[in-house]
Amino acid sequence: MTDRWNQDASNAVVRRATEQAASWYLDQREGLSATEQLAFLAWLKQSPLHVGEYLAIARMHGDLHAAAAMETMDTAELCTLAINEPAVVALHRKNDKPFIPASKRPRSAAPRRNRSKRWLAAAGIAALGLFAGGAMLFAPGPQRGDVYASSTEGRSLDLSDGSLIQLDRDSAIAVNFDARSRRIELLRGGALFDVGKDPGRPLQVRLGASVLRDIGTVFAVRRDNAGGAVTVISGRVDVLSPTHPWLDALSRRLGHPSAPDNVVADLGGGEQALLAVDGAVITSNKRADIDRATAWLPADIQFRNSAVGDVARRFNAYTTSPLVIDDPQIAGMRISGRFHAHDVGAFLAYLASLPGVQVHRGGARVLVTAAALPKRTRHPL
Amino acid sequence: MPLKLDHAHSFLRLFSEQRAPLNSYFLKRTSHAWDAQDLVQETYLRLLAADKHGADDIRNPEAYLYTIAANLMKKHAVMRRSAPVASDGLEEIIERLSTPCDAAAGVDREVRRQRLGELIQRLSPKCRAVLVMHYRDELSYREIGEQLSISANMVKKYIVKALALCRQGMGRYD
Repeated sequence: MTDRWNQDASNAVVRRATEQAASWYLDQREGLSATEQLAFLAWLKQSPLHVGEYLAIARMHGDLHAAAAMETMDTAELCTLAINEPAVVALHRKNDKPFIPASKRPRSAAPRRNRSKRWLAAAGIAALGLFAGGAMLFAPGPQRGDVYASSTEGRSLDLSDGSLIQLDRDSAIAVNFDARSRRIELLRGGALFDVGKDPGRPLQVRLGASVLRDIGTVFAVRRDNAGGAVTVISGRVDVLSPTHPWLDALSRRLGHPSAPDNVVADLGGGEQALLAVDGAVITSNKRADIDRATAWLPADIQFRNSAVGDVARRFNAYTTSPLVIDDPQIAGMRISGRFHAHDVGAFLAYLASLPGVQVHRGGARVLVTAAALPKRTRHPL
Repeated sequence: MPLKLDHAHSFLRLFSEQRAPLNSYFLKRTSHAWDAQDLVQETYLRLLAADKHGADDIRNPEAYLYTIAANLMKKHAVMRRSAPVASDGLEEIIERLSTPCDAAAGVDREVRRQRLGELIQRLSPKCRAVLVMHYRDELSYREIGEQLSISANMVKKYIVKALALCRQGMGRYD
């Protein structure tokens, strides 16, 4: 106990010295009066720790311009994140319909209600931020849509189109939906998309210079300074090479959702493509290591009073043989439980144990159908 | 944090010889290249000694601090017969502080910058935004404050906090 206290006290002393050193260092850059210089000298003389921290800050300062230049987010994105710290970021542009998370919809399960409240609170804060003078920030730059970010923990999102997105830690996406198209940009980090089906509004995910076109799929994307990676868990994804923004804008004006196709890779379940910064395909792998590509996903899937269909979709992030619930009543059944995410078999065994449910394995997918038993819409748990 | 006995003993001897005030917390810190602790200790002692002769002469303590450090490094370079410090250029002196007498300083710098870049990414959104806007976008405190609807004073506080967190993050690397 005492040791722990000493250690904490010691850390606090060092931290304070470091902050003082940083503060003095910034003051020196702005210039100090003679009296302030004397105070600075007195501070230096107080402890070798002060001298050491001051020299260390001076040292680090030399690298800061170069290190800060590695930041990939632009100023507007940084401001958006900062203004809304620490909660969800949700900015509504004037012309957009208010964004309604999927969890607000009536079929929503109980545990999601809390999240949606938090969500609305955050949206309120974000709106306040805009009225407080933030609006001017976003006028000049390209329109980014709603930005969602995660910090040290990953988070899951339900979008209004029924898409489920799992964000890795320290990741961010911008979501831009309108009547004709659904566009999502991965700003940094990694994300897993389980795309809600909406044939009238194709979904495109921008990953650096590349655009991914999805056709009802679960896939993971990752972005870093070296380029990006796309791993398809199930379904199909087309990777399109970069188009000039003006061409894209022109074709949209003409009523097409996007510029003419230029497919550089066509990925199926279990396949992966590594992309260069300029959007070129570096390698594509027919037998990707799915476990590795999704290692950052939560190891457990927990649900309380959730619809079977929703839970099955969450498992589909982990398996190349997606679960298909072929019966609306089964899909709507409420269940609770906790499973190892990588053990889809355990979940299927559980489903098979439910009254009126049959599981058909084999082939590219697992089919869950109604058995010839009396159906129940609610399983007592 | 494990106490490095050899290092601690040499500091103790140094300090008892000089009868200098001893900060026990400082002894608990482990040593690594970033701190260049021997140099820091000597610099500190010179600063104390010089000040006794006349504090009035030290009009610019920061420049004085660098001069002491630079002189000590020149002395050490001669003693160790390693690459001499060629000039009094501030940048080189500061560079040497982190990797004293190390031929691989160029490689080291790249690694350091990469790590620092990663640390910036892990800062809280406000610290990160403020730091990047100041050092990458070269905006003043006031300009940053206007964008984030906070005072220039708060901006400085966030930068101080961010600098301290980065420095502590760098200190954990060897």
